[in-house]
Amino acid sequence: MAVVNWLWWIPALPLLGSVIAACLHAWTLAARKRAPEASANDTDRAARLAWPVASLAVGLAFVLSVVAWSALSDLPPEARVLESSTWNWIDGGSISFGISMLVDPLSSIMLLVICGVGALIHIYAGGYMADDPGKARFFAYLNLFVAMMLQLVLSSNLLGLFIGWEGVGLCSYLLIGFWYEKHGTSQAGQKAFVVNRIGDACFLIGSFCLIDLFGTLDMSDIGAGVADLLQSGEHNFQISLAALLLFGGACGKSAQLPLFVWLPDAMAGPTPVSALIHAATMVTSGVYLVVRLNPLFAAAPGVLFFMGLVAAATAFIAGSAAVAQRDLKGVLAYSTVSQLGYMFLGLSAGAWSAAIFHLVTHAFFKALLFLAAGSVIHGVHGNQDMHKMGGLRKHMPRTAATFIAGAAALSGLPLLAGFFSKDEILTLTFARGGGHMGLWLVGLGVAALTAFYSWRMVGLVFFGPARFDEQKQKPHESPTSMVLPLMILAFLAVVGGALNLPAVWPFEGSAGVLHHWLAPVTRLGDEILFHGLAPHLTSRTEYILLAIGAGLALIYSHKGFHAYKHGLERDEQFQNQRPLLQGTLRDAWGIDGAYTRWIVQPIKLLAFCVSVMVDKLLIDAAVNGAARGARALGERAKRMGDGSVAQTGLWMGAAAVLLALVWMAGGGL
Amino acid sequence: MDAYIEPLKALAPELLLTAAALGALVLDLLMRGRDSRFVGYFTLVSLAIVAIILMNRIGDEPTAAFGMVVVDNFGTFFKLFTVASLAVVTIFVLSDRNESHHHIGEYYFLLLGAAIGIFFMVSTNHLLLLMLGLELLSLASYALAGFHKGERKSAEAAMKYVVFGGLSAGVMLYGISLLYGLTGTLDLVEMAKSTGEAMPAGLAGQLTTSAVPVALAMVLVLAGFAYKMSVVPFHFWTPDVYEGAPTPVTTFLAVASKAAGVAALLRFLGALFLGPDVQSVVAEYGASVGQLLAILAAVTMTLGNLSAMRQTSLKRLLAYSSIAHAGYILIGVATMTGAGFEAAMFYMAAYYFMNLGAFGFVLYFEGTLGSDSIEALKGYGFKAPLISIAMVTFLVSLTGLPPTIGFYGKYLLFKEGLDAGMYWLVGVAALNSVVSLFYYFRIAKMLFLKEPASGSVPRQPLFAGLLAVLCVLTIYFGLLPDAIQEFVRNCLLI
Repeated sequence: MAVVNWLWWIPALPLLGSVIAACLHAWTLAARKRAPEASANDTDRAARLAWPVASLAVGLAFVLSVVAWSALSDLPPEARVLESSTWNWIDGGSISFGISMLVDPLSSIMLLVICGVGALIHIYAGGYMADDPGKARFFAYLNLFVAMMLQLVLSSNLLGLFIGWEGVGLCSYLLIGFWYEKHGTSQAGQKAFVVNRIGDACFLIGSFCLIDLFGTLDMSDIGAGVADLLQSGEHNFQISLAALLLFGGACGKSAQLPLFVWLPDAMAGPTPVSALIHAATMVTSGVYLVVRLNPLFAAAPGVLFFMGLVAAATAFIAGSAAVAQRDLKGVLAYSTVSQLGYMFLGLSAGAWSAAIFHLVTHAFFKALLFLAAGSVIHGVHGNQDMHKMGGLRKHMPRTAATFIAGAAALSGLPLLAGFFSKDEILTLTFARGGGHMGLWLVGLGVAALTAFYSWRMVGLVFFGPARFDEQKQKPHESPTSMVLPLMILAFLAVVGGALNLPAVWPFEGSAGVLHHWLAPVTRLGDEILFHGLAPHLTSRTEYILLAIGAGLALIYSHKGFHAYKHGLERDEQFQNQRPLLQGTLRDAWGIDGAYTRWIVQPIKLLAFCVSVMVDKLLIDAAVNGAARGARALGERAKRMGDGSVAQTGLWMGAAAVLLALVWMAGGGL
Repeated sequence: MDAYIEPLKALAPELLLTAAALGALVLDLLMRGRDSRFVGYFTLVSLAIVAIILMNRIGDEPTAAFGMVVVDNFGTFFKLFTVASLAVVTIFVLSDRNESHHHIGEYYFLLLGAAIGIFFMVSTNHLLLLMLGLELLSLASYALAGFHKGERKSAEAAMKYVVFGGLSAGVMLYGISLLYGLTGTLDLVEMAKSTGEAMPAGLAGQLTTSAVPVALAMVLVLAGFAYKMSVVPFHFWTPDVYEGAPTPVTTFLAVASKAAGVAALLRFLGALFLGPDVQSVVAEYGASVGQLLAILAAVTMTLGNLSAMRQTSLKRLLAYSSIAHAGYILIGVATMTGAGFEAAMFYMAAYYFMNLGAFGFVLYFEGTLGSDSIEALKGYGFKAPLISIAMVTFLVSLTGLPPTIGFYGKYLLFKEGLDAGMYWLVGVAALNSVVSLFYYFRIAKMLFLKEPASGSVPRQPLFAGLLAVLCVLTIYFGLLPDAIQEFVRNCLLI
């Protein structure tokens, strides 16, 4: 372990950027107020500075992340921890909470992803938000988000993590509702906020359980505490309860059943936000949490299996919903939910590093897909309906090429990033055996669905005839500042699989790089879960599993692409022949509607009743009565104060005697 | 000769303050009252020197002087507190726009005189000297409250203050005379130590025969402290005096004078019930006095908070809020443990930052708009954003929300209350905090409510800077309370 004092700079830089951007925004507003007639060109000068400042802040944080990573790799594997000076915030005798920063192999990976992808998205957003009057505010929020996300992954205890956890939630809420003038965006923001509160409540109660169990919230101490508790042979129900509750928290943040409904609505925010927050980083923090606390979850195998059930159901429901969406961002949103399901599926099989691997590759290709989709939407002037697109590859060739690379990676075509990470999760789920075999089958089905909807998207958007007025709309390619990040991400989406090649990879030493890197973090969880006997497959089985994955991806990609590359016939056919199924899929199996009908509306009714009966009749009457009484009393008191001091003195004396009597009667004698 | 010099050295801060007070008076005469601000600067310099002397004393072994004065770290803590608040109050006076700044040299003289009273009050175990210090503080405060004698409100405030002050002092003196009659001494340590074999019976002996006279004396003496701290039911003077007195004087009364009351109470209870040589029957009786204080705490915070809710004047609101805070502080006192006293002292430090800040805001606001009504605050946040944001910070801290020092102070008080088993009291206090949220945030809401039509605020950069520093410290010590906690721990009584 090495102590360094510069770690806090990593979140501090974006925080600083956020403050500067906020000042620039205030400045712009003041300039607009001073000269209401002047054109935006003159008043918004300050706001234009926000983009370079914000991008630079995240870029510098990325540089520091690289420094942290290289400092880590210089240390021997067991000692790979960097810690920054801690300070005790609350010192409560038996329990104390410090604020400290810690970088270990796991958080270093998260740092690189957050800052790297974050910097690219910041650069892209400069072009995307160029004409928006609130761009300085946008960058202030976006930078604040990055700072909070970094706080989340850098904190060494759950309290600091929770601060980041709430902070990213707040930024997500602010950014979803960024265009609050537009109908529906503020509702979407509120929905995200409310649904996340449910998860956060679970998180908090889970944390309290952990305090009760171990007397600390420090995550490495919790891991050690779990190991000790298991050693003592006590079967502790509370461990499972804490794990279950924390998984509930992860469900909220990472949009798993039954709390996933906020994520598709969250697409109302600007597209760079969808890419950064609702695909690459924030929604994966639930996965991060589980990996961070892997000994705790490993000690609760029942919870792990339950997690697998939830994850498989989520992956399947969201994946099938993605097939029936018309909205381009809607497909991507459901696809994100489905891929997050994959990550939790891996976690449920104890494949900690595989889940992180998929998290990383998913960050690459999903951020790419969102940004490319944003480029498409930008190019066709805000249209998001795929049925009104078509043939766009002629108008925006570079966007089309990068989007196709992303879709190929998502669908798991052989040798691309998504292929290796998805395969790793499926292989390890298969290897876990038992009930996980069933989950593996679901996972295979979802893989087919994924390939299908990915290429359906490609076909509908970029191929076939143009289903809009080409003369009037004139789609155009996006500026270089937007396309360049796309190209970088496309490159990563293609080669990202090299991070963690499967064990059967022919070249010596090239396989499982990420797995070995994360080994110090996951060692304890592996020991508790597998008792040192990690499930092992023969290389022939592994080859067969790889081949199955590759085959499924190829077949269904082909099917999806060919069904849609000529136009809408398949969608129309589907709608006409199976309207019921199409509707069910489109509404994600009616879960959102069920919430509205069974939870939201009854609560609204209850609230109405309360407002009429309790508020109007009971409380108002009581308050008004009390107010009347208080006014009368006030009159008395006023006379008392106005009139004679002697009377007040009498009050004082009487009250003193009364209190003294109360005391004496209560044991003062 | 040395027998006189040594004790005088121990009294150096008091002597210096006396010299400074006289110096201020003479200086004003020499200046012929042209611009009294110069006297203010002189006061600031003298306070700085006193502060340096006091800082150097932290950690010294306790000494005694002239049989009555005790020089220990506990006293030094509250002396430093007084000097620090007096410095800020002096700056407030200097920046007060409602003040003519001519012929007001005695303003500073009176402030320094009050400080001398506090200095003696907090550094004695002898009830006679304690009473003298209290009276010196009170006399100076009466004159300060009525400083604007031409204004009806100010004159009325001074009048009320004098009458209630006289009443309380009489009550307290009666209690002290009873104690003297029961124990034959005015020295608290002696009182607690005596075994009760000699006549008069001593506290221990008296308690074994009948506790009624002791209880009576206790109630009467505590009334005097309660009056200085504005604890219910001895708080009636507070809203009127706070509203009528010039705002810097209000600040002085709310911060320094209240702290003196807390210090004297802690000293009284600590010496009488928690000292090293206390008879066991006396120490047991202390727990029961704690019960009385717990009742007072609950009543005080509840009444203070409820009355604050419907106020229209910002100064009156803060007056009730300061009553409520006296209730919170009493939680720590009522535990009757060293840790509880520590929490109370920490809370005083927290109180220093947030209340000086809040009253400073009132002064700034009054000086620019000529009114202290909450209604007039509407939209003030857009006219003077910096100090309004600072005010919101102080309000957050007064409510007791993180990450401010007020949160940590309340956390300590509640924790000690729970450790002492006073669950009901902490419950009441928690409910009270919720109530206080309502009226504190009404101010914050007013500040940033819709923009007013016109008008701009004249700037006072130095004054605003002072508020900004207080605001930063409120947050800084909320995140890093260790420094203050360490300091308080070094200055503990027990």
